[in-house]
Amino acid sequence: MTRRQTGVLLCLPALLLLAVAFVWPMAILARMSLNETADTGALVPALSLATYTRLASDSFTWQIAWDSLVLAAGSATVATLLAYPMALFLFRTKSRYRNLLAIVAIAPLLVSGTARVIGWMAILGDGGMINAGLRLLGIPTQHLINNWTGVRIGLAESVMPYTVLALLAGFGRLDHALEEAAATLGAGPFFRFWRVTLPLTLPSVTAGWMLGFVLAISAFITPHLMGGGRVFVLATEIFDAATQTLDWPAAAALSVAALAGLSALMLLQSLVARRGSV
Amino acid sequence: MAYLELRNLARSYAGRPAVRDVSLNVERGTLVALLGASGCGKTTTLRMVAGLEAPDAGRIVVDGRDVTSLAPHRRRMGVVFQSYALFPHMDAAGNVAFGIQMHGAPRAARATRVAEMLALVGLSEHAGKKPRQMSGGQQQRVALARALAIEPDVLLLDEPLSALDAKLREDLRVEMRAIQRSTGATTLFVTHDQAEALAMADLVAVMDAGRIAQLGTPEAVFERPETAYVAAFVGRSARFSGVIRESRIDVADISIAAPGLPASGRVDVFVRPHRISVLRAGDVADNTIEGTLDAIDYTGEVAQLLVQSPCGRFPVDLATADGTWRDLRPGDKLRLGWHAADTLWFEAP
Amino acid sequence: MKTGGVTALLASFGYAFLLAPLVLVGVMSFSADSYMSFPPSGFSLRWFEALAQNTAMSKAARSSVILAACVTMLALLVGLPAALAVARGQAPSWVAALLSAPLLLPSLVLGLGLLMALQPLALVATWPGLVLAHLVVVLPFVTRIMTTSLAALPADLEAAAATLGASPLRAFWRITLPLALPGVIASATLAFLVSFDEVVISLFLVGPRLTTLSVAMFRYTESRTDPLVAAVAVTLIVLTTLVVVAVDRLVGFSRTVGRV
Repeated sequence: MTRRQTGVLLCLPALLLLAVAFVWPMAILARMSLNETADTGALVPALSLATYTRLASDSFTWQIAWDSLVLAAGSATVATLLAYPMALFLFRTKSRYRNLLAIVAIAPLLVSGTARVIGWMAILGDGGMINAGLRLLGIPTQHLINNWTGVRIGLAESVMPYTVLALLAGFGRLDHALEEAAATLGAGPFFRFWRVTLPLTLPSVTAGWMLGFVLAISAFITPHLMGGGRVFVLATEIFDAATQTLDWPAAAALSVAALAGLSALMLLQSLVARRGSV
Repeated sequence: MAYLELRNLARSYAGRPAVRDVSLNVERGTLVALLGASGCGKTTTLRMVAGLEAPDAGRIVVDGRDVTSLAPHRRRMGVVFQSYALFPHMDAAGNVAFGIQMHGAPRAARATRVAEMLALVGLSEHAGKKPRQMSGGQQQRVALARALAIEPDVLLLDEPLSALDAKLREDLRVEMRAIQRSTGATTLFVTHDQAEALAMADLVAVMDAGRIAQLGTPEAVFERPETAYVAAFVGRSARFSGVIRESRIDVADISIAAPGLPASGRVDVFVRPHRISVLRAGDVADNTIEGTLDAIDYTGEVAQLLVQSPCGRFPVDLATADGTWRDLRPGDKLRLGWHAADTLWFEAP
Repeated sequence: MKTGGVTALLASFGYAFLLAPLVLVGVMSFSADSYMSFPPSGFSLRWFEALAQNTAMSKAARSSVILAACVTMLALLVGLPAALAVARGQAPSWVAALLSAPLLLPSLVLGLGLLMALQPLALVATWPGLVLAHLVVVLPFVTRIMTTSLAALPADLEAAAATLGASPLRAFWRITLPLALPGVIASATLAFLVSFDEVVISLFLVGPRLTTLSVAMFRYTESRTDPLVAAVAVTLIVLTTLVVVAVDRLVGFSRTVGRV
């Protein structure tokens, strides 16, 4: 038996599993998107692009696609802005609590998304912490949840641990000696950051933002629970089509289209990143 | 008054002293080398001068001005880092221009100065290259040009040649010294390589355990070490330990003559291998010792002998020019000798 | 030069934002009110008592534990050989890519695909269906950690065992596996936690008679806003922390997963 054959044999159980529970379902999903839906809502087996054209001619589809993009971009931006100093701090600090602080930064990943939404409800809700504070100061209370604001905040928080990790992973290029060199050449703290630290960390900022964006646009739990039924994004739309209206071709077609869009975006980013690194 | 003065600098990390008490005066335009093994505090000393570490105690004075509490970017210290720390996202010209820009030079003056500096280090052709497109030697020159471009009060070199291979190191040593002389930059140079320190420096400060063990000219440090540590660290030696008896040093079955011995005590004896010669029948010397040749290694200018004697095993360097080394074979009985004046001795701790 | 104070200050904002919901979950779980409001009018253990009496939640929790345990065992059985092949460079590169592919896919899409594939086979809301779905999610984590952990072993160890007369199987059993044990434990822990926490895919595949704790929490939060779920979350956080700390003491998580 050759090395190659041994390797394939060792991988066989995993490959079988992935074939049955990953490749096959994805094929079914793609196939489903080519079926049609009758006016009665019944599924009509077909091999056409009718579902795609139906969705594309509906302005509501474009509206939620645009809203999803804006929401994900906004959340990713908030997450990156907040995560950047955290990652920089973790990268630089020589504190003996560094490992603990790094673990704390990714600890939310170990807490269920639903629980974190509950936490945000206690903060942003009409009877929540922020509005309690506003009342105390005599300022009119704000609706901060069950709308786009709430979802944006919740999504930013839920992708932040990943953003921190992605930023940290890319900070390897940032040698502390470079900042020291800049200092000896007369650069104060601002110029050290602006001319050395930021340019060198820019690739990982892009990567971190991108990861945040992809996770935010795919997220379902947060927009569903924090949107209070008033926030419609691609993910909630796909879920509703699959489980409420039972329009499976539409759910499948939306998924395939969204995947294609995301893949194109990631391809573009990797091309840009490769050009930037030459 | 000296141009750069370090007064009683001390610095410890987590309770462990790296620099205990360093005082040093550097005259304008001279190059002083801080020579020592790793962990002796030489790099910490340099970083304190650059402002990258704050001393726990002591002052740093440049041209009569106390800079001890000044941030690094307000000091005008040109630093060449061991890793060079070239900005990877800027080309050679960009790296050199950075410091000039930070000091607010007008654009036209900046371009002239960058061109001047690159010409000084012989890299005018490579102005547009990024650091990773350059060889180690070229990167080293860019780092030097970048440090000199800000017209630094003091030039600080932290093991600037250690990342290069041996041949290039020797070439750049000469070149750097020439550039330092021509610019007249007052320079503090950190190295663990004694050949580098002896060849380049006006004065060598040998550091040991956070203190300066000896400050002197390269010749003084090598020929007249003041402590056993300096004698052992700088250059190789035949080493014996003995007891003073009747104004001579008794080592095993021989007695060694040495200048200026006290009345009694235990001493460590050092003799440089190139000061010991192989005696022919009838030759006399102040000190003689007999032994068996253990090994002989031809290294070019000298042949290095290893001789086994009742006093221990010791090295002898034999000049190869006269060809006598060819007649020697391991196992030969040899008689060796040296002048009393070449016996270095230190009272044993 | 010390770490900049400005960086530290801005970093503390990030930490505050990230940890605020967790802190509030902790506070709310001890609320004495029957709805979510801040500050609570008083503190009590009533929601932990309510949780103890909630049969739906405890049934879902039992299902989740059984499911996660099965998925962890199977994922190790399937993932370990594959990781070994990848770590030794015996697997074609597309295999390695495929092994981590499910991670790249939004779980909503994966769940939808699984629903469409399992429905015709009558596997929705069944144990086999849920186990299969969770295996796909967990497998990339297991193979990735195990590949890193196996690849970190000195290359010549198995060769040395072979020259000393050990068959490949014995060399693996006596040399490789014991050395990779920290990785096995770390990936098993992560597999368990990921499966236990999984909600989106499960949402498509659970039914009235078989549901998981994370789905039950999600459904509860959809319809009611009282601190019961906060009590569940705090219980889970305590248990998770205990497990992670225990595993870290045992094998050193940070060593196995790599420095964060």
